[in-house]
Amino acid sequence: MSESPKTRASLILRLRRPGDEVAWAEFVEIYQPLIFRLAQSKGLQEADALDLTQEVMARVAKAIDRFDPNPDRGSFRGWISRITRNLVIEFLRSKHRRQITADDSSIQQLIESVPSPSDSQWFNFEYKRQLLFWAAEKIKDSFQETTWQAFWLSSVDQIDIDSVAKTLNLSKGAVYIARSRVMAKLKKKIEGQLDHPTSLQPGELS
Amino acid sequence: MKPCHEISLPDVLLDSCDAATESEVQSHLDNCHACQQQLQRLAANQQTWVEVADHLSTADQLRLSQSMKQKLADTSAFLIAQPSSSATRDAQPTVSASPSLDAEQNWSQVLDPPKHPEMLGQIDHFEIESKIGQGGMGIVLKGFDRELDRAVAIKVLAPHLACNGTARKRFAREAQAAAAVVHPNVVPIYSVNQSVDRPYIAMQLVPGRSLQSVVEEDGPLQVKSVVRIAIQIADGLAAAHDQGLIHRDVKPANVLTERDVTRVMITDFGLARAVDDVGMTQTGWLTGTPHYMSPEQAKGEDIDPRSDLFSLGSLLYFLATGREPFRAERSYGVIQKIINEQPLPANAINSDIPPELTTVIDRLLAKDRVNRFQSASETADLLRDYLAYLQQPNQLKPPIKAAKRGLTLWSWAWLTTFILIAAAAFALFQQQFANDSAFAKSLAGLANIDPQNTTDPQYEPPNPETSGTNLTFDDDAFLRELKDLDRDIEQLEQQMGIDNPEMPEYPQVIEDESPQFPASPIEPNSDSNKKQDPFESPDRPKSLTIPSTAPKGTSNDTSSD
Repeated sequence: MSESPKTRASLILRLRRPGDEVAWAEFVEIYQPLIFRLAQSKGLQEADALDLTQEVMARVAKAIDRFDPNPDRGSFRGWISRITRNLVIEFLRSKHRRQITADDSSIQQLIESVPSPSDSQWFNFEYKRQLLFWAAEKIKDSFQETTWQAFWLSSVDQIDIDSVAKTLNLSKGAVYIARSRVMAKLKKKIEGQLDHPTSLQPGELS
Repeated sequence: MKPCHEISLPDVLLDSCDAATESEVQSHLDNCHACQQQLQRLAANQQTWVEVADHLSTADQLRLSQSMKQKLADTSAFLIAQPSSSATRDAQPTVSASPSLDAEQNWSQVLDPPKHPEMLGQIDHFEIESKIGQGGMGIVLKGFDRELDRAVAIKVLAPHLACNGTARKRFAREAQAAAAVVHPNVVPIYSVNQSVDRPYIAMQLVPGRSLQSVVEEDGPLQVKSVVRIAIQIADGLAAAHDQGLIHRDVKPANVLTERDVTRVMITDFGLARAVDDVGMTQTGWLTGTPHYMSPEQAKGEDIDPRSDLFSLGSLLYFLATGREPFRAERSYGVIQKIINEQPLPANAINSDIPPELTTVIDRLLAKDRVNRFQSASETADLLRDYLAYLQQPNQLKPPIKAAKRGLTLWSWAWLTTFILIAAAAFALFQQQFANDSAFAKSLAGLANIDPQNTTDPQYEPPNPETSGTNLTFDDDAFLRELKDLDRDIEQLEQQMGIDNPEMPEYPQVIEDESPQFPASPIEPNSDSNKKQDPFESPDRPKSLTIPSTAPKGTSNDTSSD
C-alpha cells in the first residue's frame, strides 16, 4: 500500500530541502493561523498580527537551515513559539516607544501577557487542534458527503451508531467502515506532520 | 454471514477491496461487535479517537473567513515562492493572482491587425486563422506561413509569463533545444522568437487530436494500440534525452495523433520549465494538471530523464484504463498521492489489460526512479519485443514477467510445485557434482547454460528478465521476490490446509486478484471500441521495427551464470 510514515522525511528536514514547496505550503497552512491567533490573543490588532505573522514566517524560512532537529535541543514548535514571543515583545516595545503617552504599567502588563513557558502548553494544545482541523479540511473532499457525515456525527458529535445509521440511511456496518476510514486517513495525514512530541521544558522559552 | 477470519479488515479500511467484498464485510460488521472494535482499533487507538473528537468538536472556532484566509495567504506567499533557493529568480514578477484569467483577457492583444478580412490577426509573417487551444503556458494559434506556404501551429507565451525574464529566456532556450530534436515522434519546431512583448514558437501543425481527446471521446484504447503508442513516445523521449532534454510535462494532452494515422508525436518539450519558474510564485501551485508529475517533480527535487518515464507510466495507465492513476479532488491531493500512494493496478480497472502491460506500467510508476526502467530506449526496446509477442503469442514468449497479482491460486499451486521440483533437482545435481571441480569448471565454461535448465528441461524460469531484453538482473529485486514468494506459499498452505480444504472446487483467487474486479468503473473495451480505435489500423508506422527473425526473447539466448 502506501509508504509507512517512517519513510517520510520529517517536516523539518523537508522544509530544509530547497524547493520542497509541498512542505512549505503545509507548514504555512498549519502554523500561520496559529501564530496569527497567538498574536491576536496578546492584544495585537489584526493588521499588526498579520505583519507579525509574516515576520515569524520569514524568520523561520531564513533560519530553518540552522535549526537543530535534535529533540534534546527543544522542539520545532517550541522554537517557533519562541520566535513568536520575541517578536511580540519587540513589537510591543517599539509601539511603546512610538506612543510616549502610554503609561509604563500598561506596557509592563502587555509584556507579561506575552507567551511564557507556561504558554507552551497553550501552544502545544493549539497546535494539535490546528493540525487536526487542517488535516480534516484536507482530507474531507476525498470522501463522499455521507461518509464524512457518518464520521463526524458518530465520532465528533458522539451520536450513537444506531441513530447515525438511521439518520444517514446507512447500515450499521457502513457507519463503522465510514468512520474508521476517515479516522485512518486523518491519522495518516497528521503523522506526516508531527514533529518531536516532546513537550517543552520549563524555562526553555526564557 | 462470513466468519470473522475471512474478513480482511485492513483492506476495507484502506478502501482497497471490490464492491462485493465490501458489502459482505459491511453486513458482517452490522452484527459482529468484535470486528467493529477491531476495525476501529486498526484505524486508530482509543486515545486518538478521544483526542480527535475533542479537538474537532471545537474546530469551528478555527474556521477563518475567506477574506482572512486570503490576507494570511498573502503574508506568506513569498515563502512558498522562495524557500531559501531563489538565486536564479528574477525580481518579483508583476503578475496577477489568476494567470489563466489574465491570459484570457490579454491574448488577443498579442496579435497585430489582420491583413486579410477572414483572418484573426497577424504575428510577424504568420497569418493567424484561429485559436486552437489555451493552457497555463499560453495560447496555441493556427497560422499560415506566407513565405514558406505552409500551415503552422504558433504557441505564444502567455503575457504573465512573458513579462518574467527568466521564464521568457527559458522558454526560448528550451524551444531551441527542442528544435534540435529531429525525430518522427517529436513535433518539429520551425522557429523560435524571443521578443519581449510576444515570445512565440512556430511548429508543425499536426491536424489531429491529442491522446487526451482520443481517450475522452473514444474511451480506453486497445492493448496493442497502447503498446504501439508507448513505443513511439518512448522513442521520441529517447531522442530528446539523448540531447540532454527532459520533457517535464509528458501527458496525454501533449501527445498528438495525426488524423487516422497510427503515428503519434510529442509536443511541448521542456516548456514546462518556463512555467515552473513563475507558476510557483503566484499561487504556490503549479499551473496545469499535476496528474502526470513524477514524485520527484511533486517534491520539487532535481529531476532527470527518468522523471519522464514516470509520466509515461501515468500516461499509459490513462490510455489503457481511461483514468489517471492518481486522482483526487484537488491538485494538492493528487500530489500527495503521487508521492505516497500506489495506484490500483491497471488491470484492476480494465481487466482486458494483460498482466505484462500492467507490470510495465507499475515499473514505470515506481516511486523511486532507480526502480524504473533506466532509460526511454530500454523501455522502447522492451515494448517492441512485447508487441512482437502480442502479435505472435504462440511463437514468442512474453519479454516481461507478469505481475504476481494476476495469478490465480491454481497457477500458484502449479508454479510452486514446479519451483519445488526444480529446486530439489538442482540440489541433487549440486550434491552430485559439487566435489568434482573439473566438472564444475567445464560447467562454468559452458556459456549460456542455465543449470536449472540442464536439470529440468521443462522448467520454465519464472524470471524472464534474463531473456534477451535489456533488463538487468537485480539482486535486491530477486530477494524481494523470494520473500514475496515465501509469503505467498505460506498463505497458500494456510488456505489450502486449514481454512479451505476444498479449495480446488472453487476457482478462488488470491486476496488482491485484481483482473476479476466485478465493479470496474470503466467498461471493458467492447467491440464497438475496437472499431473506433484509430490505432488499430493494419499499417504499422515506419518507426516500428518488428523483429522478423526468430524469437528474440526466448530462453535459448539466455546468458546467465
